[in-house]
Amino acid sequence: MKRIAIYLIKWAIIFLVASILVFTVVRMMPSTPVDKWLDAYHLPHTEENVAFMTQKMGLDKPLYAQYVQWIGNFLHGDWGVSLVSGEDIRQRFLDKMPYSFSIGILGLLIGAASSFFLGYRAALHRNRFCDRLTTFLTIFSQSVPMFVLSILIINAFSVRLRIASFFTGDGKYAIVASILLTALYATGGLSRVVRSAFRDEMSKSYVKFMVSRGFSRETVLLRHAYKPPLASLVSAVITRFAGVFGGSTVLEFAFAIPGLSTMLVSAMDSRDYAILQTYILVVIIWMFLVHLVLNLVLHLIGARRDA
Amino acid sequence: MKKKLILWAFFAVFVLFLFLVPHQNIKLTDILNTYQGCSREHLLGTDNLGRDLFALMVTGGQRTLLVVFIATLISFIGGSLLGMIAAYEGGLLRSLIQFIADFVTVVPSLVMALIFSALFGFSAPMAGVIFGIGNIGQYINLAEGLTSGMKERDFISAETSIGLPRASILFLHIFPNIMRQLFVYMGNNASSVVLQYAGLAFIGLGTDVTNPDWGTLLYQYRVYVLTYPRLVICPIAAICLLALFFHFAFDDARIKETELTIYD
Repeated sequence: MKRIAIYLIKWAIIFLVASILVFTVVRMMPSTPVDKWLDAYHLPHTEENVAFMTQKMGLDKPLYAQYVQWIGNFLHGDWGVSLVSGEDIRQRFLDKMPYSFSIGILGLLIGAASSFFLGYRAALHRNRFCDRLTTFLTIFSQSVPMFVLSILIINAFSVRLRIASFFTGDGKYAIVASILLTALYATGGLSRVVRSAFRDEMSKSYVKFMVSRGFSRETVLLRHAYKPPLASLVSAVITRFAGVFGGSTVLEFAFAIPGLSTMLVSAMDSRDYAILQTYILVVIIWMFLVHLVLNLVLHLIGARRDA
Repeated sequence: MKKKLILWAFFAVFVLFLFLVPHQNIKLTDILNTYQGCSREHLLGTDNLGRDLFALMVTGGQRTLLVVFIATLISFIGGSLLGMIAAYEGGLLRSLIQFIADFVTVVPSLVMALIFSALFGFSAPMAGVIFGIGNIGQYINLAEGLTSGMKERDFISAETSIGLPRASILFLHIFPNIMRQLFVYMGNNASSVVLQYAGLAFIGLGTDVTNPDWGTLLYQYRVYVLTYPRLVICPIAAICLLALFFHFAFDDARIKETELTIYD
């Protein structure tokens, strides 16, 4: 009970500190949304215009009043409207989220599943094909940037072979390619985690005795020694899920997918304070949920670690 | 060990070469001589504006090295210091440091980069600082875990009981023991910084044409992948080789498990 309370308090503090931090930081940026808005409509920066727009965007009130109003509305579920386009921000997030989330989450889950299998095979047969493959994938994902591979994929499949078109149509090929790329890059590191956890178990005496008594090697590993590797895999996935928000940026950019990161970059261009602030808060809420779910899963697996 | 010496020697030559080799002005365009192949004047040929590709690559390399240097310096020193202190002192200080580690890990580095570049303008040292702070969380966690393991050992409690000052226990006795793992992580981290920076430049942060980065070049030349593959291959090769170097140069074979189990 006490642990849960501490956990919740910790995240509430993170949320509060981050909201104040991001609120002040976006207001410290040299050019204001008013300037950007006037630029976009080719209007002169006269005092009247600036004063009118400042009032219209609600930026003329004192900072703390703006903050209190914003955070209060946010917690009530009213995320406000975009300063530039006037669209409802929550609606915009809900429209964009499926793209970024399907890439990040599906990619990671596929990656995690395949890395459990690969890591298991790699531990079982040392220095054989699967072992080499996991090493190769690790080095590969650390030395070849994702966007390089995406350029090559676009070139190969839509320019040379003309099988899939990434930039026309409903963009399903672009999303499938992004998911697979995310999975590939996740598999490298995760499979090594699984492998080393399995190797740790294999050196323990209970495994040694079971194998000497004649249980098959595969059964011992999969039926009896799977918990610690699974727990390490889940812990490793925790940290990766943090990147679901920002991680698909390069892919969204390369495949022209209208996801959250694309939205963030354009909001930054127009200095849309409202979207920027909301983005950070949503990231933190997301992280909180991820930590919560994965802690529960770890608890259920029965191998509690410090997470 | 010998292999590693050769690697480092290569790297030293490479760095000296990058900073000492004379190259053409990167801002010089030459519309009459675009897409030239490799020649004596243009070692790697020229691009779509007639700029010297070799000069662009060298400048991009200098900027990349600067970013990697600053980023790893900040996150290695800051992260291992904070992590060791957190594990050794415990209590409130530990919670505070873990809170910082959580926080910087939570905020995606892209968001940090966007905000910082709007605040201070985007430059190579700035990118180094952003990556340095953004990656500090994992160093803190690693150093913290390793130090808590060390703290249990008998020699540390013996040293505490004879009254050795805390600073000297931490830096002279604990740090040398956990240094090796930290260095391996630093190598992996340095190669990921190379990729992160290239990615950031690729999505257009720091796309100032006068300041070429490998990622920026790749973005500008991506349409020529069929017609002039040379323009695309050069930055790709440079990014991959540098990342591979950092990966292998800090790799420590002694850490890898050598003991055989009943399965082998």
